[in-house]
Amino acid sequence: MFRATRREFLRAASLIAGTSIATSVMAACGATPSPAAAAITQQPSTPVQAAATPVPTSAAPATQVPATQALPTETPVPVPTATAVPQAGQVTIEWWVAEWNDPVRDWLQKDFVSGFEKDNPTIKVDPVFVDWGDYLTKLTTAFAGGTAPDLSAGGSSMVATVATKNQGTAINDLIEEWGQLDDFHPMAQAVIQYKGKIYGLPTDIGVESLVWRKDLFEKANLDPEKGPADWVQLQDYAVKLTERDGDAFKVAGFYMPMAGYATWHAWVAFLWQAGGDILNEDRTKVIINEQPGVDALQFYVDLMTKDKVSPLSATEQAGPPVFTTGMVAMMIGDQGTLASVKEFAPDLYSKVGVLTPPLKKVRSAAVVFPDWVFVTSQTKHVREAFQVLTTFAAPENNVKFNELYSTFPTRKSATAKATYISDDPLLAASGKNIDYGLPWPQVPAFSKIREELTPAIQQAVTGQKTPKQALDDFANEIQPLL
Amino acid sequence: MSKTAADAAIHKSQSHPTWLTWNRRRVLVAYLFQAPAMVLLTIFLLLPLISVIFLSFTSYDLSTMRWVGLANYVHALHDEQFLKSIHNTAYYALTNIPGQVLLGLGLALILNERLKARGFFRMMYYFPVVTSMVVVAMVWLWIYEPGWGLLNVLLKALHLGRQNWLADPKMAMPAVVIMSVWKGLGNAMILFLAGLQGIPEEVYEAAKMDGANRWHRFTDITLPLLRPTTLFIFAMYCIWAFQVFDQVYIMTKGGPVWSTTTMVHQMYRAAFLYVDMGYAATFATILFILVLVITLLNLMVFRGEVEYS
Repeated sequence: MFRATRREFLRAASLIAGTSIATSVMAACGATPSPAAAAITQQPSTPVQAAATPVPTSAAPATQVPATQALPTETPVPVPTATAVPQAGQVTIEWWVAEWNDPVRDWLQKDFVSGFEKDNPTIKVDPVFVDWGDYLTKLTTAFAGGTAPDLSAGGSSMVATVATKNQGTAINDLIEEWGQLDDFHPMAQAVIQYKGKIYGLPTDIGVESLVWRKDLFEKANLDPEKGPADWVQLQDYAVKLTERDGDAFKVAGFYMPMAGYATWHAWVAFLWQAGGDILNEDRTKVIINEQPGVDALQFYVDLMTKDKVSPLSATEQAGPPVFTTGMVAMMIGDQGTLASVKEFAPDLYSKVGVLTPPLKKVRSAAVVFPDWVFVTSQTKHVREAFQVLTTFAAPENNVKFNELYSTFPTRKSATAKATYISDDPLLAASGKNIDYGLPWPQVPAFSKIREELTPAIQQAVTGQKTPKQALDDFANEIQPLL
Repeated sequence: MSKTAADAAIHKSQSHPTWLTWNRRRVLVAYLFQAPAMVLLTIFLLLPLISVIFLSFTSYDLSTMRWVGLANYVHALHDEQFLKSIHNTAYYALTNIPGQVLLGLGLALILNERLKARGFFRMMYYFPVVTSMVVVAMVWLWIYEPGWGLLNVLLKALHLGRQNWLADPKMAMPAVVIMSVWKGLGNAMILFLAGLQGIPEEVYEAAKMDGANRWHRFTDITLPLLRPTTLFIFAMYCIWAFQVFDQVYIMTKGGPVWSTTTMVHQMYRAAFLYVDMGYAATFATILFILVLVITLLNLMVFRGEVEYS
C-alpha cells in the first residue's frame, strides 16, 4: 500500500488545492457574462405593480395591473424554442420589458416574437421581463457592467437621464426614414426626445383621473352620475362623503396619498389646474413656488388638516385597495385602478365614476404618463433593434399590447381601432383626459425634482413649513441644478 | 557541554540550512492553505474596497470619470440629507441594538429554564428572523397604516389615542425600530441561549453554596461569562444596524420628510436614482470608516475573557 510521509502529503495537497483555485479563477475571469444571469429576475406569475411595490419612476401606473385577462383569441402559434442556437448571420436583440403582466408576456413570447422572427429570419428577439420595482437598479448595474440590453423600457421622465448619461442611441435618421412619428400622440412624442434627439418610441399612455364610488355618493345624497367639476365642489363633496368615528376614518371623502411617488403624482395635477407648473417653459427657472403653486399646496393642506377628508397614509399604493373596499369615496386613480376594480370586485365596476374633463381651478389638467422603449448605447445592432421597435409600434400591435396591459395606445391610428376603450365607458372617459395632460419637464434634474417634491408636500401637510416656505425651499434646492 | 561549545552548537543549528528550510516550509505550507481564502477575499473584498475608495475621489456617472479630489467629501459634509441620514442611522443603532440585546437576553434567560413547551416558544420567537424582510416590512406597513391599520384599531379599542406612525416624521423612525426589534430579537435570543448553555452548571452551584442570590449569580457569573457572546452580538449588530436599508426602502422610502433615511439609503439614491457613483462611493467609504471605528471600540470595551475554575 502506498504510504506518504506527512511532508509529502502536505506538499501534494497544497499542489492540488493551488491548481484548483488557479483554474477556477482563470475560468471565472474568462467566462462571458450572461446578461440574463446579471441579476435579472424573470417573474412568470407576478403582475407588475404589486401592492406597495416601490416604483422608481413617475411613469409607472400607480396601481396593480390585474394578473389575468382573457388571452388573445388568435390562432396559437408554436412557442419559439428558448434555447435555439442563433444561426450564422443571425442577430439577437435583447429587450428588457418592464411594462408587462401575464397576458402581455404570453402575447409577446407566443405571438409577437414568433411572428416577427418569421418575417425577419435574421433577427432573433429575446424579451426579458423585469419588474419596475427594481428596474432602475438593474438597468444601472447592467450599464455599469457593459451588459445593457439592446432595447430597454423607459419611464416618462427618463429621456434626459438616458441622453445625458449616454445610455441611449439617437435614432433621428432612422425615424425620419420610417416617417410615422406624426401618428403618435404629442404627449407621447414629448417623452422620447431630448434637445432634438430621439432615442426610442412610445409604447403606452397612462392617465390619472378622479374616480368615485357612486354608491357612496348616493349614501351622501350626491348625484352619483356627476363628479365634482372644480375645487370648490371637490371640497364640498369630500366633506359630505367623509365619515369619521372620532379620529378614525370609516370613509375618507377624498383620499390623498402621502407617501412615495404617489404623493407628488397626485398633487401635480392640482398645481397644473391652478395654472402653475414645476418649471417655466424653457426649463430654466423653477416656478412651482409662485402663487398658483402655493394655492395648490394650500388647498391640499386645508383638505387634509381643516376639512380632514383623508387620513395621513404611509402606504404608497394604499389607494386602490381601500377604494375597492369602500373606505375611500373619491381618489385620483389611473386605468390600472379601474382594471383592479374590474378584476377584484367586478360587481363594483358599474358603481365607479370617472371624471372627465378633469378637475379645474384655472384650467382642467390631468397627469399623463407615457412610457417608451429606447435603443441603448450598448447595442451593436441599432438597425435591427429599431426594426423590432417599429414592428412593436405598428398600430395593430400597439392596440393589442395596450389592451392587454390596460393602458392607452400611443398612436392616433391605433386609438381609433381600440374597441376595448370604446366598449368600456369608464376607460373611454379616462382616455379623454389624455388631451388635458401637460408635458413633464424633461431635464436631467427631474430625478431630483421628483425625489424632493414629496418631502416638500409632506412638510406643508404636517405643518412643519407653510406651503410657501416648503415650495421656496424646494425651488432653492432645484434651481442650481437647471 | 561548555558555554562556548553550547553557543557554537546553537549558532550552528540556527545557521543550518536544513533547519531554516524546514521552518520556512512550514510557514509556506500554512500560507498555501490560507491561499484559497485569501484569493477570494482579495478578489471579492479587498479589490472592491480599494475601487470604492478610489471612486469616492471621482465624479463618475457610468459614462465619464473625472478626478475631483475631496470635493465629494466636502459636499457630503454640507449635504443636509446625508447629515440627517447619519443622525437617523445612529438613532436606529442606539435604539435597535439595546432593544434586541436586552430583550434577546431576557428571552434567553427565560427560555433557558426548564419550562413546558420552551421548544415551541423558542421556535415562535425565532420565526420572524427567518421570514423575509420584504414580507415582514409589507405586512407591518399595513399594520402601521394610520387610517385603517391594525395597530390604530387596537389602540382605539383600548381607548388610547391613534398615532400616525409611519406618516408622522417624529414617529416614523421609532416605528421602524419597533418592527426591526420584533424581527431580529429571536436572533439575539438564540445566540445568548447558546452562550448560556456553555456556562457550567457547577459554577452556579458553587455560587449558591456560597450564598449568592439570583441577582448576584446573574451579575457575577452569567454576565461575565457571556462576555464573548455579548461581544459577538454587539459587534455584528452594530455592523448590521449601520447597514439598515431594506425596511426603510420598503416601508418609508426614507420619508416622511427624510425622517427615516439612512446612510445606505442615501447611498442607494446617489447610485441608482442620480447615477452619481462617485458620490455614492463617498457615502460607502464614510460608512466603512464609521463601522470600523465602532467595531474596534467594541473590541476594546469587551476584550478579555473571564474564567471561573
